[in-house]
Amino acid sequence: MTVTEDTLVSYAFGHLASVDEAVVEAHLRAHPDDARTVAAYLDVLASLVMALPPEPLPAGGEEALLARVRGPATPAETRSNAPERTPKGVPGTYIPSRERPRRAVWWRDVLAAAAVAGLYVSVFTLLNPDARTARVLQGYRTEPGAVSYALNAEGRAEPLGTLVRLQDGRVFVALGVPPSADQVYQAWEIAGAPVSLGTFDGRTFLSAQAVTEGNTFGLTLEPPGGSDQPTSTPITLLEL
Amino acid sequence: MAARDEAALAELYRRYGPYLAALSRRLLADRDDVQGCVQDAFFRAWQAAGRFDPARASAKTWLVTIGHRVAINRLRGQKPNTLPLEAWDAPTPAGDPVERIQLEGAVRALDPVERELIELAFYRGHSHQELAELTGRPLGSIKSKLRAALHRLRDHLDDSDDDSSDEPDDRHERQGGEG
Repeated sequence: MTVTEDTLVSYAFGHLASVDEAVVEAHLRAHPDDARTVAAYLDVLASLVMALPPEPLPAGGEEALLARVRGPATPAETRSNAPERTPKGVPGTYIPSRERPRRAVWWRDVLAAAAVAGLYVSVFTLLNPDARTARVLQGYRTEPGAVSYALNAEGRAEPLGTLVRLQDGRVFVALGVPPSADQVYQAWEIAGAPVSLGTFDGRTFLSAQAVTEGNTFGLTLEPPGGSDQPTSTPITLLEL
Repeated sequence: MAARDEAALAELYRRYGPYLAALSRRLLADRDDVQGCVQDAFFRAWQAAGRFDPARASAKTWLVTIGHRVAINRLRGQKPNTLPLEAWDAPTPAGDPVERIQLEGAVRALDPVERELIELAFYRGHSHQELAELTGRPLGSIKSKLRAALHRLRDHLDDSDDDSSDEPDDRHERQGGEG
């Protein structure tokens, strides 16, 4: 395995298999520059987490943790239902493999079945852009507090797509078709002069900022790169 | 914590546990699993504390990375049940206000595709290949976009740190030498 910059990115995201992580960690020990790069990536990702709304910890959680560390030093998981990989993303977190829980033999059958199912889903998704969009849309629709709306076009019986307003006010849009090659979709928040929410050349879009409740969401077709203000009639408008 | 100080563990749990729970919430739907992940993350940190090197990573980064790995692995175990869910989320208004403002600026600096990829990769644990399948974009484009996004976020946060370096900021203190 050759460690490239992309490998370092995958490592930072925790996407590598255990054996590949071990290779990367050996590489990092020998290449301080790459180790600094990875450390910077991990710092960025940690910062993302520290900007999330903190979730209250359950009563008794601290006591349970302390009781656990005082107990026999076993690697038992609280409710492990997955083969656990050692968290090794930061220097100094390596836990020797002898401490890892052993995978029971019956897991092989489960993993084999999951692999077959995963392969089917991957191939199906790869070949079917509708399935890709549907999967992403389904995720948004099931977010706590998310509200879904049909995006309708005047004179058209079928909706153009779906808009999901997330709990934090951001909007996700999934459309039936992408724009033509020489155009992009541009999303707008309208409460007076339209304010651009961004452009996209595919079928899905997630706004970076919240759209205020009561304002209107609009979509126009614009030249690549988008426009400062709409240059065409909105293909859909929705009051949120 | 490296000195097996339970008070230090409890302090880190109180300080960072709510954020690890928030991260796990984005990766996992089940509340029991979320709290289990937080417990497992701190337990693993306790086990590995002797090897923590504050010169190479802050306690915050170290704990978040452990928490992310624990949640990702649990998510992988859940995938047969949660495969249709592609929920992803960007930083939302909460947490340390200074850090939140810096993060909001950094996230806004990403283009929509980069933002989507960062969030799908980090908050849903999708690999490069899975992202290519999900988004329909070439694998090479996924890789370059993710790399560019990380660099852009880092540059933006570095600039923000420089801008606020003269101001008292508990965040910097927190990134110091716990662990």
